[in-house]
Amino acid sequence: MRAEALGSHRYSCVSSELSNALIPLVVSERSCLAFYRALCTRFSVEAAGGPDDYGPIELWMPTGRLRWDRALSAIDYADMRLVIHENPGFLATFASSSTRDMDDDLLRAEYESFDAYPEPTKGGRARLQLPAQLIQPRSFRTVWTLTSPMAHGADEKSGNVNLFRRHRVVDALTGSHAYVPFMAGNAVRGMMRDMVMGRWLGLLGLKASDIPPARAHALLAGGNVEQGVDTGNVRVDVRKRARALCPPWDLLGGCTDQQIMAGRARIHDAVLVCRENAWQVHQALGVETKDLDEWAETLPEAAELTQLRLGTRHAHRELEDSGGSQMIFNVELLLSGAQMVHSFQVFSLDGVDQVTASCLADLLEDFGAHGVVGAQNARGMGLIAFNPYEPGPGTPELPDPTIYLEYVDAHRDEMIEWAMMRGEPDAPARASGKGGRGGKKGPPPPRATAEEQAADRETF
Amino acid sequence: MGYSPPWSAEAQRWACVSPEPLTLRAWLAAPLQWDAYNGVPCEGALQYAVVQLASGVSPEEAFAGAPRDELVPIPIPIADQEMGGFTVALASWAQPAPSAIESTRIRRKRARAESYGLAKVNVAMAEFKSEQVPVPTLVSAFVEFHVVGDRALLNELLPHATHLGRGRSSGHGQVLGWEVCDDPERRSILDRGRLMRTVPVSAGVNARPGTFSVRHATTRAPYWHRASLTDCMVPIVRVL
Repeated sequence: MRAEALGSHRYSCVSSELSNALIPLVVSERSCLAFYRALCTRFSVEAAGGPDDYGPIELWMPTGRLRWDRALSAIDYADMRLVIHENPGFLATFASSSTRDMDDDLLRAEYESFDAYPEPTKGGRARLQLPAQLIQPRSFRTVWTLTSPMAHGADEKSGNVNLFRRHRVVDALTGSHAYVPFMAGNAVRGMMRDMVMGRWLGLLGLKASDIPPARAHALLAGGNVEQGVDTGNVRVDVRKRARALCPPWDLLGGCTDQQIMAGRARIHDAVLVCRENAWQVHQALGVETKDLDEWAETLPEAAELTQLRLGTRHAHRELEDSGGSQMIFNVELLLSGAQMVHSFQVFSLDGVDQVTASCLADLLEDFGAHGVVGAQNARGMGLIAFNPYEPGPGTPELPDPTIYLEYVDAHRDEMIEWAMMRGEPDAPARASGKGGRGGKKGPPPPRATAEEQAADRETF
Repeated sequence: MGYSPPWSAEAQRWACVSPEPLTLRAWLAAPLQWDAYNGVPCEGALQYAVVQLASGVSPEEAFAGAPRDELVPIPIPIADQEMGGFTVALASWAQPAPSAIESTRIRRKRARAESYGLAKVNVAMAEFKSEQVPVPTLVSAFVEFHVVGDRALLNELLPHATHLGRGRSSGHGQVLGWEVCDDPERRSILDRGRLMRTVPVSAGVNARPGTFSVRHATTRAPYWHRASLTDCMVPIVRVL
């Protein structure tokens, strides 16, 4: 790299720019050659040499020199991706060490220092023996098909590139590792929480901004534990009241009125249908284990399923007093047409109240009607199509959503009172006793007796 | 006579009746929360399932009113053994698959500030603070537990053991499915001299030096409860 080509400011910050650029480049390109071309272009380097550059770029090693194209031919791009994802700064450190000012002895000493490193080893890549049949936990699942590209922000920033979220996975068919795009269960859970709480408040004729901020924070973001609160002090009356009066709360839980409460639902990561995940998703797509290898070969690798999209924001300087700033940015998107398997569990469905299970059914209907996941929905990202969630082996069907809707209608006043309450009183709370819109009287019932629960087990 | 929750008779049906050495292999669909200091046992997940099935509510509510200093036994289909004056379950910690590797997952929590009806919401601190917390995880196709347990009851209970470790609500440690296999080598406590679970020092287990450390730890589930706190031999977990 030359300071004249980059400019003095960029040249002085070249290591951080390189570090930020490596991951976006490695996910946007599909081969070592393409990656190298993109890298050279970014830093105005002529790989083949030019009038102002040294000759073709060469790799200098203690044993001699090797031209760049030959060096690249020995690199497995999957390995390169893995190393860059692990630590782009590692490579940037080497690349930005200048050797121009070193004399030959110093340079030789630096090369010889590599001898102190142990020989690189590759972890075992043993294929795992997959079982023909598993004892499967009860769950509901479906397959999302993306009808528009999807965005889901990565854990770390890479300059002006907003990458898709990835995690490391083991491919049981090959024993190798890869960084694969996924959508976090926590993100899906948050989206479902917004949806189900918003719908519940809407049924009550409320907006989130109408209720006390602490309650709104609990409903929409899970709440928080106040400083100094004894979280070991379980108040069953407070919990029962919350679960009875807010079925979505029973479903998703959180912390309210100094009570940390577990929800019934466990929302899983959305797993990308790709070669690396084939062993995990084949059953959801109706592929038998004996056909798995052949089917996996037909799937694209995860790295083939994303692309960078360039976005711009204009300053509109033609407008008087325009204070905006011009910027470009890249967003990595999962391609339209990609599929993801999504599942969740309700634990334990046998012990879950009918109203809560019905609330879940209502949420899933609402989710299906919206059909949007991930970020940047306002730009049209994240549209999905999917069949209704199917119960897996041994999983009972969910009840009809009308049970939930009728329950909300019948206990509307008590629910509004709970939603508007600023903290539970010390004494066990009493229901208002006023009838709801449906005219039913009485306090919120304990949801179901043991006998009723037993009956529920047979019905859903 | 100790505390007995109202659902204890219902839970009793899950007590181990016909013990035999088994390996429970949990194929994982999501990374497992893993701190490399304390291992991941299977008894907690099984107890969680038993309590929910027996009581119909989550464990923190099922144990409301229980004396805090008393450890209430929760029967599971894993055999127990008295070791050095403490009851120890014959179940190893989770043993990762050979290709396993440690990783990190960021957990995020975002305040919905616009919905709180306040003129100003500080999402950087205090009660509405948004969070981005890195969580250490284990990426592994499966983990194995070597146990002495009741095969028939385990086959019945395992479909309810949906997750292992922490972060269950957001899918961490999600179990894709379970396998129950024979374990002729009986590896619940020792595997070729390597310590496989926490045992009291007073039990005098003949484990190979270097496979364990000695520190204060608890010997039985629930492991957060201090009733079984004592000097223990604790396995050293290394993922290569």
